[in-house]
Amino acid sequence: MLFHDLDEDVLAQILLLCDIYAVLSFLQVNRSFHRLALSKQLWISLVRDLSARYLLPHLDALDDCTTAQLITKVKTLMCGPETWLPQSSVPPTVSFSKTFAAGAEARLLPGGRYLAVSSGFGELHCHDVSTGREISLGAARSNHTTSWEVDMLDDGYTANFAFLKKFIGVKRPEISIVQVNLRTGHSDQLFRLELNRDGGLYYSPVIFGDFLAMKLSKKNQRMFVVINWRQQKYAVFEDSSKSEGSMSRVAIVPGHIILTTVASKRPNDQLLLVYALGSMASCWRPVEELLYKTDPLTHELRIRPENTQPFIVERLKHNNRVFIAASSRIGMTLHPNPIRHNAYKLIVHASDFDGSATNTSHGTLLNHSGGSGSPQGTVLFIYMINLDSSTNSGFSWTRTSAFSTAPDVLYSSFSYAVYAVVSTPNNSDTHGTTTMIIDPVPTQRWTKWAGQMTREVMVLSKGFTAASTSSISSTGVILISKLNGIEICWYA
Amino acid sequence: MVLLVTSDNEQFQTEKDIVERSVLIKNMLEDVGESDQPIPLPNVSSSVLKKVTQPSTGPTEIDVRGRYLSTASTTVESPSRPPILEQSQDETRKRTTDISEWDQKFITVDQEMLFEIILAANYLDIKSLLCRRWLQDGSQHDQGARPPEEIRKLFNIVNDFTPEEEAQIKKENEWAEDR
Repeated sequence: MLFHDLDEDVLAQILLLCDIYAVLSFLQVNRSFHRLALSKQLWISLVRDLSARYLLPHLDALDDCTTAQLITKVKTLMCGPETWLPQSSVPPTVSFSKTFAAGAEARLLPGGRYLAVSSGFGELHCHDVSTGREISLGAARSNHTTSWEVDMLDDGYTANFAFLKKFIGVKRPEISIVQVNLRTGHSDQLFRLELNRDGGLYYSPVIFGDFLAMKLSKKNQRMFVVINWRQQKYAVFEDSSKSEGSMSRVAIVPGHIILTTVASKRPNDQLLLVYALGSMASCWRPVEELLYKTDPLTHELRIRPENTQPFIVERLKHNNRVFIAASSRIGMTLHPNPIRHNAYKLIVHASDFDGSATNTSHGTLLNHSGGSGSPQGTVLFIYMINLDSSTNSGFSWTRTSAFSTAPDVLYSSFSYAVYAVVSTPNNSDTHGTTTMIIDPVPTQRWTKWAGQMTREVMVLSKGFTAASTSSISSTGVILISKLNGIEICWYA
Repeated sequence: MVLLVTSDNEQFQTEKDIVERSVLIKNMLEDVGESDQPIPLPNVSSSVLKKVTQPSTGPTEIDVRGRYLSTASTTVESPSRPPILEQSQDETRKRTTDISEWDQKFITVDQEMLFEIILAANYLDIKSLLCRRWLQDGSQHDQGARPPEEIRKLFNIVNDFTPEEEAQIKKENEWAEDR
């Protein structure tokens, strides 16, 4: 019996269970597979499946789409809108937009299907972006929340919110996790922990699966506190970045934690460390200690490369350029691959400052904005992470690219397709700023830098727009927050 | 325990929770209710059924795979799973984002057996078995997915594209690769 003797219905069934990446691999096998994998029914099903987690407007018209049009919709999630490409014959075009009432802070949840808006008092509510329906977060409404993060589960509508509250008066700081069903508005508290008032300052929570990570700063010490909230235990990683200016980062993927740190040996350059959570079984401690003890873990017990072997140690180095802890800034953006199970893209941007830096002699880089203390060109490092249960470690890590770009991207986040929203002061008008979408990835189309290291895709606002902020979601949906409303734009 | 009878008339005593992975058998059991009646499986041979009913090696390590246990993923329910994580049957069937070790073992069987298992899984309606295991997550391939060449090799499939066609199709699908 041969594979092609299998009933086409069986093959079609298998394809329905594959991720899109596998379907695209399948269609390259031979002619009959090519025909089978381009079936419109299959792609309607794949797009519908995807639309549970990602904002894909105009779903009611799917039946009128050709297979090629359906594939283009998927492609947008991976590569950004077609009208943003340099070779596009039409200017950037909004295909869907919706306006919501203004709030103090607005954020799109991962995938762009839902919008979270917080009032000035820290109350949070959500909207379904495509229908406009408001979702009251019930139990999740919380005053005095200093920061929150969210983990969207694979179904696309269950969200685990992590709320970190600062202490008010006699109250202790507190971390809680609330699971919200964004379809029904039903919410459940999954975890709540009061923290010791003298334990230091907690900030920047990150939540993923069973794990919650926060930064903790106490006197001159910095660390990452990682909590397995389901098993009520915690561990502490040393954050050896000593300088105030440095921005250490942490990200979690299944089974592994990724953090930025600084090499203990001179010249103390920036490193990325990946630890396998399975390798640190002895480091976990009962979570109650974070309430009772002012010093949760002494220096010796914190996890660092000297006592726990990281799974991967990656030096951030590009064309002989390294980033020295004392003078560099670093950011990390992690996105799941929209079309591939268990795959992630990690975008790390590193930049150093003029003046204090000891090795800023890079002839190819232009000093973009000039003046002392201004950042040099930023380097973007892009990694692909694959969690493949069939390899020994279950984790593959590949640097897919590294390139220099303009310093503007320093504080921005990136979409999966590596577009960013940046704001720069106008040269002529000192009060105004220009906010635009840029493509920081150099292409062969540009010869040398020619003074411009990024491609300007479009300007979102210009002039005096201090009251307006814009951001880009993982899939390229743009959020523009103004005093009189929040606009969500999906570009085709 | 449930009694199954295969096409070659062999009888199998099998744990109920294992056979209920098959939607077909689950529905049959619901139809007949609690009874000792054997369930006939005229399209499945004993050698295939042995493979299909191989017991699971148990829940995977929670630390390493914490994420999986917290999403609608595992087809093998872990006994320690808190009720809050229970997903509807439909949801679990629809998105099998994780492959249990039970499913993984099948990658090691020979090709003949592989086809029979695919057919049996289709007949028995076991989604996790019909899964992407054979098309992606290639065991030798570091990148995690099977490139077309590997699918061809694994299943003895002849490439009938012309080199030009093949290059064109490859180019058309380049966008799916991370760069």
